[in-house]
Amino acid sequence: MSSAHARFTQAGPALLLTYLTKLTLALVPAYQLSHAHHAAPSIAPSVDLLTWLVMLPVLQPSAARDSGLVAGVAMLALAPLLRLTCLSSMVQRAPLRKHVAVAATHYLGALRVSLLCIAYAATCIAAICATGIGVETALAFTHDERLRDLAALAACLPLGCAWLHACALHDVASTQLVLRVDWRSALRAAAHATSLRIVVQSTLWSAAGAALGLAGLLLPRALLHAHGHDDSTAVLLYGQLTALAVTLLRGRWLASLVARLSR
Amino acid sequence: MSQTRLALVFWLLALTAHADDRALPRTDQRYEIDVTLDPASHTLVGSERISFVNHSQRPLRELYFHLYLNAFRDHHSVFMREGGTQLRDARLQQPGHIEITALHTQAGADLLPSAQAELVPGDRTQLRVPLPAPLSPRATLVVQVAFRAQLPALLARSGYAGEFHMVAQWFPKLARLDETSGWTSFPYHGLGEFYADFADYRVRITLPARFVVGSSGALTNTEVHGTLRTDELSASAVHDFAFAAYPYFERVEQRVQGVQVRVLAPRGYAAAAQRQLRVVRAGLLSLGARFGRYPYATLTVIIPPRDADAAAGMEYPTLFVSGGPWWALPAALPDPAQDFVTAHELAHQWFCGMIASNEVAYPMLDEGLAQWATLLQLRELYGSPPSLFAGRALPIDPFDVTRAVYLRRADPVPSSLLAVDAYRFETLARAVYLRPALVLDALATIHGEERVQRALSNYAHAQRFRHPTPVDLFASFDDVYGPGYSEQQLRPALSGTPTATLEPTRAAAAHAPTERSFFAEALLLAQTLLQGLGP
Ligand SMILES: [Zn+2]
Repeated sequence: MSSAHARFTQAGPALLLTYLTKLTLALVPAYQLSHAHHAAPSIAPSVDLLTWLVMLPVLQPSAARDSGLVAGVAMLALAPLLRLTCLSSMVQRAPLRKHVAVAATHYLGALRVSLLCIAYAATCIAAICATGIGVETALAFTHDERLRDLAALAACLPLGCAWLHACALHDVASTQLVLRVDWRSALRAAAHATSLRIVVQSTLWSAAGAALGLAGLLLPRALLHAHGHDDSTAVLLYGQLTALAVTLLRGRWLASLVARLSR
Repeated sequence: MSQTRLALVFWLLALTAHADDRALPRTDQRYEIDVTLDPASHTLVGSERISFVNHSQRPLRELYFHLYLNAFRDHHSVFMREGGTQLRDARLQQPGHIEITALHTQAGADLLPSAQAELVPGDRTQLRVPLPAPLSPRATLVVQVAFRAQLPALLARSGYAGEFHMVAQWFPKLARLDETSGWTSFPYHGLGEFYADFADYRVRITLPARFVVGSSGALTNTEVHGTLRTDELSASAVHDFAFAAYPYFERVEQRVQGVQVRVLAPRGYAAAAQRQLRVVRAGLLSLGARFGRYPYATLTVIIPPRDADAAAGMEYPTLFVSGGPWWALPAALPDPAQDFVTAHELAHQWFCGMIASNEVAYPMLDEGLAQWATLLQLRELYGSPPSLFAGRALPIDPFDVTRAVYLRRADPVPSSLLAVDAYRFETLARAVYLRPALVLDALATIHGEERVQRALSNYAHAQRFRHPTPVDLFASFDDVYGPGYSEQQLRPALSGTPTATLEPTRAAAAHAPTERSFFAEALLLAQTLLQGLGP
């Protein structure tokens, strides 16, 4: 068994678990956000979510913000576990319970991999930002803020590349972690294996996921505005299909990574 | 009367109304100022000839001058003690000050020895000058003044930042002389602005020739001598004169209804300047139609460079300082944060520029009415009803945003009808800017838009080139809503009386998403954000 697609379907239960975990964590902040929206006496309730988000600095729904932070921290803590569970079920066929156990044994290693990738990205970003500030300062004599800002921005373009490289490296290293045992050798192998091609593919898959999520957020509102009525069941169904699709898209990318790296 | 004659009468009426709208009143005060700006030391050295008529009913035994740059002299000034730096979030880094070095009447009497400089302990922003002989009503007095000023490092509207100079409140200026109560003088208050008589100005500014000047009034002459240049400017029927000087200004101009609108912006700001010009153009037409045409020949908009942000968002007659970055959103997209500043400062050309209320005693009359006029301009710019998917519309009504900001905090808002020194920085915005705008909007919701518009249009036309008080505003509302309306409804609402029926409330919804569909969207948003954390 080696095709990416077969590995992807094999990881179905793990991906469903990922989707359900995200859904559970999202419930409280989402409830509090919508509650704060309807409790706010000041804003006309005709305001939709996107507008309302623009207004967040004004409205300061502190309960939603706090529970959002808690959900975010919980997600960060659970992310390595979910990611490794998915990857493990793409490597070999076994009950979900066993994959969770495999993920748990690699948990600390995965945390180390994540932290090192973040440190790598932060170092690149700091160096590139320093270049940008240097360019901005060096061009002060032009008294042209647009020229200075655009030149500094151009100098900071590698920043995006470094970030994308770090993301790809992180996914490859996580995959290596379930294929090998030791986090050090996983990271070493990942540094070797993360080619330009993999970075480009990782970027495209992530972009597709982001586009899907954005479409999920924008389209129901546009349709509602066009028809002038509100069908909350349709919005919920559409939103959840989107969330599931985003999770599956991510799973499909990891599956193709496992297929390639386990060759 | 025959149809033709009737038409002729209407045509003549329209013509006179039109001419009246454009006409500037004759004033009985004149400032002739010669000043040299040294941008290296940020100093001004100048001489000034002021001629004025005692238009009060009593003989004048003294003069009151405002020396408002002395607000930045040290931490003891009323301005600093009242936390004036909070408004633009700046510290007093390099102090500024102004001294009168000579003060004579035209007859040669030296007025300086008997002048009193510290009318409020620690504060030197006012100067009381006893006259050798009383000046009878209708009599004219001419005084000659020599002065020297140091601009502060930019804070609270005035000063320098690098080579950018915002020269405001920079010359010895007479306090306002009220027809019945005499001099109305006050120190430069921390949260307060200004009050003066309408006057004609002729100002000659000498500075290095490479500097570009943006000022009140119109340029009448320019002379270059060596590395220096002298610009001669004149402004009629204005109650202040300010200018900005910066070597790297670029100019964008457009003629709107006979007004030469000029935006001076730093290099690289072309897109932002064009956007502001569009907002000003729309605003001149809209505000002109509501409150009487803008009567001056020029209007200058200054966009300060980034490091001079403390100058941004301030109005002077025929000049205002806007703000914002060099980049601008395309015209088709709303940019309320940026357009708000432009529209607000433009509205001040009416509410305090021409309708020159006392900005310290009744800050609501300029800020509250300007705020309301600003929100109306934004509504017109972006269209109504609000919708994210309807072209260049703002997805939310500007008044709803204002209401949200107003109601965000639960602590009580003091009356909107107090003088500035009664407010703290935290309460000023809600009492003086937001509540009046929301009360007027509530009035429009209850009794219809047309009547509010009519009351304020009447007020603006009746008080053009005058110095109204809230009594005059209330009289205009009573004319439209009936006798006693202001006392029964408007004043309690503006005062924040709990029983007032015009207190800002939740606006009616056009089509509301239900809580369930809002929740469904919020859920997807939270899931998408969590996905970003990488499971
Ligand atoms: Zn204002």
